[in-house]
Amino acid sequence: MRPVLAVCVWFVLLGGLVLFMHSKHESSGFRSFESKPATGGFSLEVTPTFAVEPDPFALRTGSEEQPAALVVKVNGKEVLRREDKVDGGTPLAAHNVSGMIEGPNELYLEANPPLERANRAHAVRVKVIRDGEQIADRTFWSEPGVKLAATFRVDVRPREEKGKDAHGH
Amino acid sequence: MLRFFMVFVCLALMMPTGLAAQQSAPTDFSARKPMLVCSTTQIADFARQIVGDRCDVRCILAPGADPHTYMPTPGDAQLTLKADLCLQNGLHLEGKNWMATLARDARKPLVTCTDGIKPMVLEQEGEKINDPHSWFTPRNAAVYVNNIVRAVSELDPAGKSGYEARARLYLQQLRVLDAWIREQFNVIPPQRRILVTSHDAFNYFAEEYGFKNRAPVGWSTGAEIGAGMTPERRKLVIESIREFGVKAVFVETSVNPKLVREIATEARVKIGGKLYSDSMGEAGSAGETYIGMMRENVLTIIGALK
Repeated sequence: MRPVLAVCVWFVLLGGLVLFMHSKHESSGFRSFESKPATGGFSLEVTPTFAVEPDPFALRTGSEEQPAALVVKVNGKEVLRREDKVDGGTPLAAHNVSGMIEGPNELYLEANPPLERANRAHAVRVKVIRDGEQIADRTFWSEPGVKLAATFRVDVRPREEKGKDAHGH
Repeated sequence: MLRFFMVFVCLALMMPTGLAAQQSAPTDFSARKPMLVCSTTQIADFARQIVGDRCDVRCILAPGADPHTYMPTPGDAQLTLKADLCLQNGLHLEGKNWMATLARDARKPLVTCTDGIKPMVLEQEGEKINDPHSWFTPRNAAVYVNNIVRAVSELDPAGKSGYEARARLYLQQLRVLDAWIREQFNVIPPQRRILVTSHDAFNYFAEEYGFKNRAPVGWSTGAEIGAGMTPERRKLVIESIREFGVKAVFVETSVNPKLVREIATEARVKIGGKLYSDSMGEAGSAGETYIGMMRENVLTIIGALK
């Protein structure tokens, strides 16, 4: 009789603990993060104020492409890349940009000025356009001597919340 | 007799297979650090910037030693035997290819860090010679770095991400160094940018930053074609000093300064200072790293010529 009683007590204690943990997890409001693709057609317009050229100081391990002159990534995915020399003031466009999600999106921009003009600050203007409507417009400046590398966030709101639906920061 | 013959044939067939298996098997570096043996101080510094503490980096040349005339010692051969990878400059900087000989004798893989650099061609005594002093521009130093990253990543794939991350940072430092040098040399008028040094080591540097360079000793201090001092070169240097109104001449840390001192006395110019050339500085000195060496050279040149 005693062993059966001991087993029952153990079941009650363990069952209570499991029930407690389960209810605590549900009430804590944890939920898995799911990114929802943003609707609409996105495009980018990038205008460097200086001539960009391939980076002679790029890491080249042999497996990657030629060194880039300009790269734009959206949420870690490359959407625009130029490996040739591009004159200053030339707008570069990337259409049908995929990978934008509802909520915050991270854009990364990298542009390489010519070595001969590396000791000056340089600027690049980036516009993000959704279905023909501009949702972000930012200008980034480099420090003299280094290539321009910038990360910025663009909030994309769900389609039904139209209006002032996004901003950079 | 037939049995012995069969055994011999079997062993002979097995040997190459065993060797191939030994060569293709990746080395396990969980118990010890990979050892890199470098010929010059510059290459050792590049390697240290990339591998951090993950590898043991050794250098054959001591700070201030001359790679053109260096004679390897039995200690160098023993060190090379322990190496997992050997790194050399190439383009005959290592006189009589001593690093390649050490690596070959020890049967160790050898990487030439100048692979991929378009060498400057010097015409001396009717011969065309590739100038080996290509580390003197940060842009070329980036090629050295990339060659080393590839080689160590292949040797030790487990450390690849760390090697690449360190290399990315170091390449950015080289870029900043290059921009800084261009900015600094703005204070020297172009007509005063004449660099007179002990031996012809600064061609890449001069080309990149708009200098004319003159040296009484050729591309090597050794006995190769186009190397050493000739009366014609000495005369040309003194004429150039007078023609361009050169304010100062420079001695090098790895070359005997006697000849440049004589020229300075004859041409009545001052010694502008000591430049790091084929070798970097002692540990603890400002020139113990590549970036430090380049920085100090630039400041020495500006101090004497501006």
